[in-house]
Amino acid sequence: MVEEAYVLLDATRSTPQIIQHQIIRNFADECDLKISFYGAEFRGCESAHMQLKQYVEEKKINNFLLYSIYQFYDSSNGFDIDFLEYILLKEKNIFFAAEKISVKNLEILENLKNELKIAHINLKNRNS
Amino acid sequence: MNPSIKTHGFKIINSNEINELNNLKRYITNFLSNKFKLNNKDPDDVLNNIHNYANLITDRQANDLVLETLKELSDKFDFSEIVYQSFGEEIRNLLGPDLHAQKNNNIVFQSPNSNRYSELHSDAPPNSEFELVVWVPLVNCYGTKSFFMVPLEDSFDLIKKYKSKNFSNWNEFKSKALEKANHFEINYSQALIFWTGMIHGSLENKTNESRWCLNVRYKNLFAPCGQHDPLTYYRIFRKSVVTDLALSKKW
Repeated sequence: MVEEAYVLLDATRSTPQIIQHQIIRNFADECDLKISFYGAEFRGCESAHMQLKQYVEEKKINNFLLYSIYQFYDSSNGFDIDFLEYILLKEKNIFFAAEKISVKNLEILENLKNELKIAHINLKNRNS
Repeated sequence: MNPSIKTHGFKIINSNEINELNNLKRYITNFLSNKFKLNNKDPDDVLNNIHNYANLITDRQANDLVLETLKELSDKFDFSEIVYQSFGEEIRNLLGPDLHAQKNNNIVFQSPNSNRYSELHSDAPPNSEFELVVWVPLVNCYGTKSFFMVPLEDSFDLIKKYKSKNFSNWNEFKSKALEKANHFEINYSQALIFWTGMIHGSLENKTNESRWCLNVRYKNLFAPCGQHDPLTYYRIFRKSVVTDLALSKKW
């Protein structure tokens, strides 16, 4: 069944917006998601996820499709796993198009956690 | 002296267990036999002669066939797991118990006289310099149907000279590299294992047989990932007990 999804683009535009749109549309099709809204966090305040938090709290929509899981990444602290957990505890699904990741329950997140922790170690090692 | 990873940067190894690799080879053969309505189901004959059976005229047709084969195999076989079952002891000895494996299944196919040979190159960068490639032929490979590798010290020397602009053009560099290269005869059930910093490639296949091989990459779980994104290029393949404990820390 096709479900509605809100999209939050990567506001840093490290990937051009036109490419983000293509990748997001393709992944939405794969996941049977119909995009009903496009937005982006305020530039410079991305990591606070204020808009996303608001939409999650409003409970109008169950699916959030982001361009990349690196929208939850900070080079010092790694991936914001707590925020992902918070979204799931609100009974919402979150999708990341560039990495083709769908997180629909805590069990999936539990498996993803290790991948995210290892990826952070790899990325830190890359620069050392 | 037999080549080793330490002295030459590459090594040919024999499998310690080949059941899963045999299953994969048989499955591909059956898929191709059914697709092209062949009575013959001998794996070596079908794979070696698929360019005739499938009437492959262009590289595009060959590429489409490989993509279709990969799609057929995608949810049934995990190449990293199969290759590890066959050659895991060596991989474990070289990289340890904590491993990342390349996420996607990868088949390299080369039909006779195809222009799609692998040009002289080294994988790192962009790949990780902490990575090993395991090249596993599904058919016996020899002569131009096979693969060549420039030994470690020669690879270093050639890359240094190339960077210092000691060669006036690509062909001069390539012919020097080919002078130093080892051309391998590798049979099915063996693998060529090599470090990503090595110069290597393949030539135009002048034999009358097609080459099919798997190409799988492993690195230590914690090693840098080169220019690749760790989340899209690799997956956690093996974890040691200590790594499990560390990742699950609850204090």
